[in-house]
Amino acid sequence: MDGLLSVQQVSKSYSRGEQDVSVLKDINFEVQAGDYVALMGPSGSGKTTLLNIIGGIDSPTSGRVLMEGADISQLADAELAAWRTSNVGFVFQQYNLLPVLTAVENVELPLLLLDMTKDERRRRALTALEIVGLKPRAHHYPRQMSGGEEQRTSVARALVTDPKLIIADEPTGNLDAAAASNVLDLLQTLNEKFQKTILMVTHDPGAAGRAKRTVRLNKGALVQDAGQPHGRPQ
Amino acid sequence: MRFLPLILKSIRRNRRRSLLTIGGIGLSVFVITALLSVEAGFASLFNSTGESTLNVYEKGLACPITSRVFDSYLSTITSVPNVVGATGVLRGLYSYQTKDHLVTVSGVDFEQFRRVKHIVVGEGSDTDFAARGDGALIGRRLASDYGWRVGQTVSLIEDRLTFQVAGIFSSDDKTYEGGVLVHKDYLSRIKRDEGRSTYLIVTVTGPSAIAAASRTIDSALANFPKPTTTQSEKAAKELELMALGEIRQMLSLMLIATIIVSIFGAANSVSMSVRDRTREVGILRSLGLRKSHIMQILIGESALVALIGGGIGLAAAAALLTSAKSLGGMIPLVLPPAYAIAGMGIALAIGLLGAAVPSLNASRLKIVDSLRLVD
Repeated sequence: MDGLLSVQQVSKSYSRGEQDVSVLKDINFEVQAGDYVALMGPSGSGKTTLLNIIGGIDSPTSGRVLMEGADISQLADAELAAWRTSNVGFVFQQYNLLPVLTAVENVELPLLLLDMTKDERRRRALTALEIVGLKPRAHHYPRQMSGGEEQRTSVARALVTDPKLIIADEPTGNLDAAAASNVLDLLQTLNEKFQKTILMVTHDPGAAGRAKRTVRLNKGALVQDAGQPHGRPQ
Repeated sequence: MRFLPLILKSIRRNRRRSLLTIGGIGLSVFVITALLSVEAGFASLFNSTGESTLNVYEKGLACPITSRVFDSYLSTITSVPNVVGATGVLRGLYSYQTKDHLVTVSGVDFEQFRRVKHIVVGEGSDTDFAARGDGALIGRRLASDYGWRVGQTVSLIEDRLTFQVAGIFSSDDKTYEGGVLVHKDYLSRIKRDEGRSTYLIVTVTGPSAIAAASRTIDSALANFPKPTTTQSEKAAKELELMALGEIRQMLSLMLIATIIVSIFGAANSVSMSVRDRTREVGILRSLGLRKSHIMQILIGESALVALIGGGIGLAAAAALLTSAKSLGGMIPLVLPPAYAIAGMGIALAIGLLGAAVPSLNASRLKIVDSLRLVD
């Protein structure tokens, strides 16, 4: 596997009144292309903040994040936006689909930013929905779908631009056991069949067990980085 | 344009708010354009008055209907220095079909009248008019309002006044284009008002002769049974339309209030819409949309709503002006293309101004802060 992502001495702190609150403290770790990493830790340990910094929707107070050798922390706002479109797909706990758009229109959204015909956009969005098993629901609105279907739609949206990295922030947090298992199966398929690099925040040890590697945070510091080179534990 | 489907769907999603915003902007454009058109009507009316023309009314009664002066005054007036010509006009206000459709009928001695007013008969002929005692020439604007045609017999409600349309005319004086010309002796018989006119039209050698001629005419007729007030035609029209002028002033105040309320209403509506969608802005930005894209979407949505409202307001104003025959054709009511464009410009400005600040704030919000907000 090749080095895809390098988090180097990343720290993040917020000002709360006159006090500085440190959320991340000098985090260092590497992610290889094709890796599937679970980020675990108690609430407030800084998992989501780290994920947001890696995804380019938040910035570190110090340190840097390199993606294939390029420091994304140095990118200007517009460059970072373009970088996100091509390199990162987000899956959020709340699904974050636009309620006014159908499933296929939601999946098409990131493609609006790429140089592509309307037909090509639609074709690729339908392919992504087919991968997540929702092509028959392509023209349904989020309100007409179950939570599991909404989350699978958001996975389709995350992969439609064929990004190098998929970032999932507690993707099963709002789902029942069956729907959660379904989404985790899907992420595993994306990793194993489509070689997508996945970085997932989770509280669920079962979900983390699907990953090849688990990184643990506590009080903003990296406390454990356990690799599972054979993927799914037996 | 690539975000247009998203914009349209957002407008449809907040249907009630969109309709209220459209309604508010539509109302303001309606008031603005209708008022501008009435203003334009006033302007065309005043600008079409003869610069060397005087009107002689009964003293203290400068009313286009109730004033009465004797036709015998004409011989006295024509002997006043610098007077070129004079003729009497007997006016009546009638209704067509319903009391709401007022029609101003002017009884004139046509040969004398066309010496003081430029009249061009288009459809039909003035010969036919001259040949028929109950013939009538219809002003171009009135004919268009009611669809009257040459050869048609028209009956008005009061006095059972009936005439046959002999021709359609246009005139430099827009007042007459909204009314009917009939033979004065015909109207006098029907009104039982022979030998008298509502007012006399007098032409003088030039604008400089107006003041002196007015004074001379009034003093020459001071001892007659009905003393007169003579003034320039423009001043007479202003007096005649004074009541409407007051309405216009009131409308101007309403106009200012409407614009202010519309801008605040639209700004509030857009601001609420943006606030409701802060999380959505975060989602879009996480997908790679830039701040400028967010501005495009939010301002585009506001501009589109404003233009829809503006279009509806314009259509309503045009419909009102087309159907507003109740002014008896006194004021030409049309919606000039320039005012239609101005109305749409105002609508767009309301939409853009209302959206600018909240959209800028939304686009500047940190993505993580936007996403943290719960729906």
